Amino acid sequence: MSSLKNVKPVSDIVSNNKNNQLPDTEPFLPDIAGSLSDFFSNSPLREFSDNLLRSVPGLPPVVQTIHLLGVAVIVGSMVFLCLRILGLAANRQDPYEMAQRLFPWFFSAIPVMFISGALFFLARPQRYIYNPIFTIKTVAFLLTIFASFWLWKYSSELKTNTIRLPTKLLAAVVMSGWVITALAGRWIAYSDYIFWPE
Amino acid sequence: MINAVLTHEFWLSLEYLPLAEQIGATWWFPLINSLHVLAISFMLGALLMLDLRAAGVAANRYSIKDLCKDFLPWIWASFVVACITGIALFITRASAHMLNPAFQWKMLLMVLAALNMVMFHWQTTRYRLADIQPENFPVMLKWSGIVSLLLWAGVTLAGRWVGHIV
Repeated sequence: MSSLKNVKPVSDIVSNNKNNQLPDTEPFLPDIAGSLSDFFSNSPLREFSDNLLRSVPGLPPVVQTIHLLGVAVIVGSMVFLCLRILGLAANRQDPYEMAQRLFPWFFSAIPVMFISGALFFLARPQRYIYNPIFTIKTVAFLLTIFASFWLWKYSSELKTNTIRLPTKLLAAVVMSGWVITALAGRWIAYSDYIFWPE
Repeated sequence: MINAVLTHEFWLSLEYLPLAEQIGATWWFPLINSLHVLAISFMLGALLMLDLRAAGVAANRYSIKDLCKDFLPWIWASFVVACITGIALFITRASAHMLNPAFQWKMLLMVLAALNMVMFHWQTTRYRLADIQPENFPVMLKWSGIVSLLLWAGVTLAGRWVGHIV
Protein backbone atom coordinates (compact mmCIF):
# COMPACT_ATOMS: atom_id res chain seq x y z
CA MET A 1 0.00 0.00 0.00
CA SER A 2 1.73 3.09 -1.23
CA SER A 3 -0.26 5.37 1.06
CA LEU A 4 1.24 3.73 4.12
CA LYS A 5 4.86 4.31 3.19
CA ASN A 6 5.03 7.78 4.70
CA VAL A 7 3.48 6.77 7.98
CA LYS A 8 5.84 5.96 10.83
CA PRO A 9 5.53 2.43 12.21
CA VAL A 10 4.06 2.24 15.72
CA SER A 11 7.24 0.73 17.16
CA ASP A 12 9.30 3.81 16.11
CA ILE A 13 6.90 6.22 17.71
CA VAL A 14 6.65 4.19 20.88
CA SER A 15 10.41 4.09 21.29
CA ASN A 16 10.63 7.86 20.62
CA ASN A 17 8.07 8.51 23.29
CA LYS A 18 10.07 6.40 25.70
CA ASN A 19 13.19 8.48 25.04
CA ASN A 20 11.29 11.70 25.68
CA GLN A 21 10.18 10.61 29.14
CA LEU A 22 11.82 12.41 32.04
CA PRO A 23 14.26 9.98 33.67
CA ASP A 24 13.47 11.00 37.27
CA THR A 25 9.67 10.63 37.15
CA GLU A 26 8.41 7.83 39.34
CA PRO A 27 5.99 5.65 37.37
CA PHE A 28 2.50 5.93 38.85
CA LEU A 29 1.54 2.46 37.69
CA PRO A 30 3.79 -0.57 37.25
CA ASP A 31 4.95 -0.90 33.64
CA ILE A 32 2.46 -3.64 32.69
CA ALA A 33 3.07 -3.33 28.95
CA GLY A 34 6.82 -3.50 29.51
CA SER A 35 6.60 -6.63 31.66
CA LEU A 36 4.25 -8.32 29.19
CA SER A 37 6.52 -7.36 26.31
CA ASP A 38 9.60 -8.74 28.10
CA PHE A 39 7.76 -11.92 29.05
CA PHE A 40 6.54 -12.70 25.53
CA SER A 41 9.70 -11.49 23.75
CA ASN A 42 11.86 -13.84 25.84
CA SER A 43 9.46 -16.75 25.56
CA PRO A 44 10.56 -19.68 23.34
CA LEU A 45 7.10 -19.49 21.72
CA ARG A 46 8.07 -16.15 20.15
CA GLU A 47 10.98 -17.66 18.25
CA PHE A 48 8.90 -20.70 17.30
CA SER A 49 5.97 -18.66 15.93
CA ASP A 50 8.26 -16.22 14.17
CA ASN A 51 10.22 -19.01 12.48
CA LEU A 52 7.04 -20.87 11.55
CA LEU A 53 5.44 -17.82 9.89
CA ARG A 54 8.68 -16.99 8.05
CA SER A 55 9.71 -20.46 6.93
CA VAL A 56 6.43 -21.97 5.66
CA PRO A 57 5.61 -20.28 2.33
CA GLY A 58 2.11 -18.80 2.29
CA LEU A 59 1.42 -19.60 5.94
CA PRO A 60 0.59 -16.00 7.02
CA PRO A 61 -2.28 -15.49 4.53
CA VAL A 62 -3.55 -19.04 5.19
CA VAL A 63 -3.67 -18.51 8.98
CA GLN A 64 -5.22 -15.05 8.49
CA THR A 65 -7.90 -16.61 6.27
CA ILE A 66 -8.66 -19.22 8.95
CA HIS A 67 -9.03 -16.32 11.42
CA LEU A 68 -11.26 -14.47 8.95
CA LEU A 69 -13.47 -17.52 8.29
CA GLY A 70 -13.72 -17.83 12.08
CA VAL A 71 -15.14 -14.29 12.14
CA ALA A 72 -17.72 -15.44 9.58
CA VAL A 73 -18.65 -18.42 11.80
CA ILE A 74 -19.06 -16.09 14.81
CA VAL A 75 -21.27 -13.78 12.74
CA GLY A 76 -23.18 -16.79 11.40
CA SER A 77 -23.79 -18.09 14.92
CA MET A 78 -23.76 -15.39 17.63
CA VAL A 79 -24.48 -12.26 15.61
CA PHE A 80 -27.39 -13.78 13.69
CA LEU A 81 -28.79 -15.29 16.91
CA CYS A 82 -28.69 -11.78 18.44
CA LEU A 83 -30.35 -10.34 15.34
CA ARG A 84 -33.06 -13.01 15.74
CA ILE A 85 -33.54 -12.14 19.43
CA LEU A 86 -33.92 -8.50 18.41
CA GLY A 87 -36.44 -9.53 15.74
CA LEU A 88 -34.25 -8.18 12.93
CA ALA A 89 -33.35 -11.42 11.10
CA ALA A 90 -34.28 -15.09 10.68
CA ASN A 91 -37.82 -14.55 11.98
CA ARG A 92 -39.03 -17.85 10.49
CA GLN A 93 -36.81 -19.70 13.01
CA ASP A 94 -37.42 -20.40 16.69
CA PRO A 95 -34.94 -18.40 18.86
CA TYR A 96 -34.48 -21.11 21.53
CA GLU A 97 -33.90 -23.77 18.88
CA MET A 98 -31.44 -21.41 17.14
CA ALA A 99 -29.51 -20.92 20.39
CA GLN A 100 -29.26 -24.69 20.95
CA ARG A 101 -28.08 -25.21 17.36
CA LEU A 102 -25.72 -22.24 17.02
CA PHE A 103 -23.92 -21.96 20.38
CA PRO A 104 -21.81 -25.12 19.70
CA TRP A 105 -20.59 -23.48 16.47
CA PHE A 106 -19.72 -20.35 18.39
CA PHE A 107 -17.88 -22.27 21.12
CA SER A 108 -15.92 -24.25 18.49
CA ALA A 109 -14.89 -21.09 16.68
CA ILE A 110 -13.37 -19.46 19.79
CA PRO A 111 -10.35 -21.81 20.21
CA VAL A 112 -9.66 -21.67 16.46
CA MET A 113 -9.71 -17.87 16.63
CA PHE A 114 -7.52 -17.85 19.70
CA ILE A 115 -4.85 -20.16 18.25
CA SER A 116 -4.74 -18.49 14.81
CA GLY A 117 -4.56 -15.06 16.47
CA ALA A 118 -1.98 -16.12 19.08
CA LEU A 119 0.42 -17.26 16.35
CA PHE A 120 0.67 -13.68 15.06
CA PHE A 121 0.73 -12.16 18.53
CA LEU A 122 3.54 -14.44 19.71
CA ALA A 123 5.65 -13.86 16.61
CA ARG A 124 5.73 -10.07 17.18
CA PRO A 125 4.44 -9.34 20.72
CA GLN A 126 5.64 -5.72 20.78
CA ARG A 127 3.69 -4.86 17.65
CA TYR A 128 0.50 -5.73 19.54
CA ILE A 129 1.23 -4.86 23.16
CA TYR A 130 2.15 -1.24 22.31
CA ASN A 131 -0.73 -0.87 19.83
CA PRO A 132 -3.72 1.02 21.35
CA ILE A 133 -6.14 -0.66 18.90
CA PHE A 134 -4.99 -4.07 20.15
CA THR A 135 -5.80 -2.94 23.70
CA ILE A 136 -9.27 -1.86 22.53
CA LYS A 137 -9.74 -5.21 20.78
CA THR A 138 -8.67 -7.15 23.88
CA VAL A 139 -11.05 -5.22 26.15
CA ALA A 140 -13.92 -5.50 23.63
CA PHE A 141 -13.21 -9.23 23.25
CA LEU A 142 -13.16 -9.95 26.99
CA LEU A 143 -16.38 -7.99 27.65
CA THR A 144 -18.14 -9.56 24.66
CA ILE A 145 -17.16 -13.14 25.44
CA PHE A 146 -18.37 -12.60 29.01
CA ALA A 147 -21.68 -11.22 27.69
CA SER A 148 -21.94 -14.16 25.25
CA PHE A 149 -21.56 -16.68 28.09
CA TRP A 150 -24.20 -14.76 29.98
CA LEU A 151 -26.56 -15.04 27.02
CA TRP A 152 -25.85 -18.79 26.90
CA LYS A 153 -26.57 -19.13 30.63
CA TYR A 154 -29.92 -17.36 30.26
CA SER A 155 -30.86 -18.89 26.90
CA SER A 156 -33.91 -20.58 28.48
CA GLU A 157 -35.37 -17.04 28.46
CA LEU A 158 -35.72 -17.53 24.70
CA LYS A 159 -38.40 -20.20 25.17
CA THR A 160 -41.04 -17.60 25.93
CA ASN A 161 -43.24 -16.16 23.21
CA THR A 162 -42.22 -12.58 23.86
CA ILE A 163 -38.55 -12.10 24.67
CA ARG A 164 -38.07 -9.69 27.60
CA LEU A 165 -36.28 -6.36 27.25
CA PRO A 166 -33.16 -7.27 29.34
CA THR A 167 -32.51 -10.28 27.08
CA LYS A 168 -32.87 -8.04 24.02
CA LEU A 169 -30.47 -5.50 25.49
CA LEU A 170 -27.96 -8.25 26.22
CA ALA A 171 -28.29 -9.47 22.62
CA ALA A 172 -27.69 -5.92 21.37
CA VAL A 173 -24.53 -5.70 23.52
CA VAL A 174 -23.23 -9.08 22.33
CA MET A 175 -23.93 -8.24 18.69
CA SER A 176 -22.25 -4.82 18.76
CA GLY A 177 -19.41 -6.25 20.84
CA TRP A 178 -18.48 -8.82 18.18
CA VAL A 179 -18.76 -6.24 15.40
CA ILE A 180 -16.47 -3.86 17.33
CA THR A 181 -14.00 -6.69 18.08
CA ALA A 182 -13.85 -7.64 14.38
CA LEU A 183 -13.45 -4.02 13.23
CA ALA A 184 -10.74 -3.38 15.85
CA GLY A 185 -8.95 -6.49 14.57
CA ARG A 186 -8.78 -5.05 11.08
CA TRP A 187 -7.68 -1.64 12.41
CA ILE A 188 -4.67 -3.05 14.32
CA ALA A 189 -2.71 -2.76 11.10
CA TYR A 190 -3.94 0.81 10.55
CA SER A 191 -3.61 2.34 14.03
CA ASP A 192 -1.12 4.93 12.72
CA TYR A 193 -4.01 6.62 10.91
CA ILE A 194 -5.90 7.29 14.13
CA PHE A 195 -3.24 7.90 16.74
CA TRP A 196 -0.41 9.46 14.78
CA PRO A 197 -1.88 11.31 11.81
CA GLU A 198 0.71 13.03 9.63
CA MET B 1 -6.25 -11.21 -25.99
CA ILE B 2 -6.46 -11.64 -22.21
CA ASN B 3 -3.14 -9.90 -21.80
CA ALA B 4 -4.43 -6.93 -23.78
CA VAL B 5 -7.36 -6.63 -21.37
CA LEU B 6 -5.24 -7.11 -18.24
CA THR B 7 -2.68 -4.50 -19.30
CA HIS B 8 -5.15 -2.03 -20.83
CA GLU B 9 -4.51 1.58 -19.84
CA PHE B 10 -8.12 1.85 -18.64
CA TRP B 11 -7.04 0.23 -15.34
CA LEU B 12 -4.30 2.80 -14.88
CA SER B 13 -6.73 5.62 -15.65
CA LEU B 14 -8.94 4.42 -12.76
CA GLU B 15 -6.09 5.09 -10.35
CA TYR B 16 -6.04 8.75 -11.42
CA LEU B 17 -9.71 9.32 -10.60
CA PRO B 18 -10.01 11.97 -7.86
CA LEU B 19 -12.00 9.43 -5.82
CA ALA B 20 -9.24 6.81 -6.11
CA GLU B 21 -6.64 9.34 -4.97
CA GLN B 22 -8.85 10.43 -2.07
CA ILE B 23 -9.29 6.81 -0.91
CA GLY B 24 -5.67 5.76 -1.42
CA ALA B 25 -4.10 8.72 0.36
CA THR B 26 -6.32 9.04 3.44
CA TRP B 27 -7.98 7.13 6.29
CA TRP B 28 -10.75 6.28 3.82
CA PHE B 29 -8.71 3.22 2.78
CA PRO B 30 -8.64 1.52 6.21
CA LEU B 31 -12.27 2.54 6.84
CA ILE B 32 -13.46 1.03 3.55
CA ASN B 33 -11.22 -2.01 4.06
CA SER B 34 -12.76 -2.73 7.46
CA LEU B 35 -16.29 -2.32 6.05
CA HIS B 36 -15.30 -4.76 3.27
CA VAL B 37 -14.24 -7.34 5.88
CA LEU B 38 -17.41 -6.76 7.91
CA ALA B 39 -19.64 -7.16 4.84
CA ILE B 40 -17.80 -10.38 3.91
CA SER B 41 -18.27 -11.84 7.37
CA PHE B 42 -22.01 -11.08 7.33
CA MET B 43 -22.35 -12.55 3.86
CA LEU B 44 -20.38 -15.70 4.68
CA GLY B 45 -22.07 -16.09 8.08
CA ALA B 46 -25.53 -16.17 6.50
CA LEU B 47 -24.31 -18.22 3.53
CA LEU B 48 -22.77 -20.80 5.89
CA MET B 49 -26.16 -21.46 7.51
CA LEU B 50 -27.96 -21.65 4.15
CA ASP B 51 -25.35 -23.87 2.46
CA LEU B 52 -25.17 -26.30 5.40
CA ARG B 53 -28.94 -26.65 5.23
CA ALA B 54 -28.74 -27.21 1.45
CA ALA B 55 -26.18 -29.93 2.16
CA GLY B 56 -28.59 -31.45 4.70
CA VAL B 57 -26.01 -31.04 7.48
CA ALA B 58 -27.77 -28.54 9.77
CA ALA B 59 -31.14 -26.91 10.50
CA ASN B 60 -33.02 -29.69 8.71
CA ARG B 61 -36.21 -28.87 10.61
CA TYR B 62 -36.65 -25.81 8.39
CA SER B 63 -37.29 -25.92 4.64
CA ILE B 64 -34.70 -24.51 2.23
CA LYS B 65 -37.42 -22.10 1.11
CA ASP B 66 -37.84 -20.65 4.63
CA LEU B 67 -34.10 -20.32 5.18
CA CYS B 68 -33.75 -18.61 1.80
CA LYS B 69 -36.41 -16.10 2.86
CA ASP B 70 -34.55 -15.56 6.15
CA PHE B 71 -31.01 -15.28 4.83
CA LEU B 72 -30.99 -14.31 1.14
CA PRO B 73 -31.79 -10.61 1.81
CA TRP B 74 -28.82 -10.49 4.24
CA ILE B 75 -26.55 -12.36 1.84
CA TRP B 76 -27.38 -10.10 -1.11
CA ALA B 77 -27.27 -6.86 0.87
CA SER B 78 -23.86 -7.80 2.33
CA PHE B 79 -22.64 -8.89 -1.10
CA VAL B 80 -23.60 -5.50 -2.58
CA VAL B 81 -21.77 -3.67 0.24
CA ALA B 82 -18.73 -5.95 -0.25
CA CYS B 83 -18.75 -5.22 -4.00
CA ILE B 84 -19.01 -1.44 -3.58
CA THR B 85 -16.26 -1.34 -0.95
CA GLY B 86 -14.23 -3.83 -2.99
CA ILE B 87 -14.41 -1.63 -6.10
CA ALA B 88 -13.43 1.38 -3.96
CA LEU B 89 -10.30 -0.48 -2.79
CA PHE B 90 -9.62 -1.85 -6.29
CA ILE B 91 -9.46 1.52 -8.06
CA THR B 92 -6.63 2.72 -5.80
CA ARG B 93 -4.30 0.13 -7.43
CA ALA B 94 -6.36 -1.18 -10.36
CA SER B 95 -3.50 -1.79 -12.82
CA ALA B 96 -1.43 -3.75 -10.28
CA HIS B 97 -4.44 -5.78 -9.11
CA MET B 98 -5.27 -6.87 -12.67
CA LEU B 99 -1.81 -8.47 -12.90
CA ASN B 100 -1.86 -9.87 -9.34
CA PRO B 101 -2.31 -13.68 -9.52
CA ALA B 102 -4.17 -13.68 -6.17
CA PHE B 103 -6.65 -11.12 -7.50
CA GLN B 104 -7.09 -13.13 -10.72
CA TRP B 105 -7.79 -16.28 -8.68
CA LYS B 106 -10.27 -14.37 -6.53
CA MET B 107 -12.25 -13.22 -9.58
CA LEU B 108 -12.14 -16.70 -11.16
CA LEU B 109 -13.37 -18.38 -7.95
CA MET B 110 -16.20 -15.80 -7.65
CA VAL B 111 -17.31 -16.61 -11.21
CA LEU B 112 -17.30 -20.34 -10.34
CA ALA B 113 -19.29 -19.62 -7.14
CA ALA B 114 -21.80 -17.65 -9.24
CA LEU B 115 -22.16 -20.51 -11.75
CA ASN B 116 -22.68 -22.98 -8.88
CA MET B 117 -25.36 -20.68 -7.42
CA VAL B 118 -27.15 -20.30 -10.78
CA MET B 119 -27.12 -24.08 -11.27
CA PHE B 120 -28.52 -24.64 -7.75
CA HIS B 121 -31.22 -22.00 -8.22
CA TRP B 122 -32.18 -23.30 -11.66
CA GLN B 123 -32.46 -26.92 -10.49
CA THR B 124 -34.39 -26.18 -7.30
CA THR B 125 -36.92 -23.90 -9.01
CA ARG B 126 -37.31 -26.10 -12.08
CA TYR B 127 -38.00 -29.27 -10.08
CA ARG B 128 -39.66 -27.42 -7.17
CA LEU B 129 -37.20 -28.82 -4.64
CA ALA B 130 -37.15 -25.92 -2.15
CA ASP B 131 -39.87 -27.48 0.03
CA ILE B 132 -38.93 -31.15 0.06
CA GLN B 133 -37.39 -33.13 2.93
CA PRO B 134 -33.56 -33.34 3.13
CA GLU B 135 -33.57 -37.12 2.51
CA ASN B 136 -35.29 -36.60 -0.85
CA PHE B 137 -33.07 -33.71 -1.90
CA PRO B 138 -30.78 -34.66 -4.83
CA VAL B 139 -27.24 -35.57 -3.74
CA MET B 140 -25.73 -33.38 -6.45
CA LEU B 141 -27.49 -30.31 -5.05
CA LYS B 142 -26.36 -31.21 -1.52
CA TRP B 143 -22.80 -31.23 -2.82
CA SER B 144 -23.46 -27.91 -4.47
CA GLY B 145 -23.89 -26.44 -0.95
CA ILE B 146 -20.49 -27.82 0.12
CA VAL B 147 -18.86 -26.66 -3.13
CA SER B 148 -20.27 -23.18 -2.53
CA LEU B 149 -18.64 -23.03 0.92
CA LEU B 150 -15.30 -24.28 -0.44
CA LEU B 151 -15.37 -21.77 -3.30
CA TRP B 152 -16.13 -18.85 -0.97
CA ALA B 153 -13.38 -19.98 1.42
CA GLY B 154 -11.10 -19.91 -1.62
CA VAL B 155 -12.32 -16.40 -2.50
CA THR B 156 -11.50 -15.30 1.06
CA LEU B 157 -8.03 -16.86 0.92
CA ALA B 158 -7.28 -15.31 -2.49
CA GLY B 159 -8.59 -11.95 -1.28
CA ARG B 160 -6.39 -12.06 1.81
CA TRP B 161 -3.45 -13.08 -0.39
CA VAL B 162 -3.91 -10.01 -2.61
CA GLY B 163 -2.56 -7.86 0.23
CA HIS B 164 0.53 -10.05 0.58
CA ILE B 165 1.53 -9.66 -3.09
CA VAL B 166 0.88 -5.92 -3.64
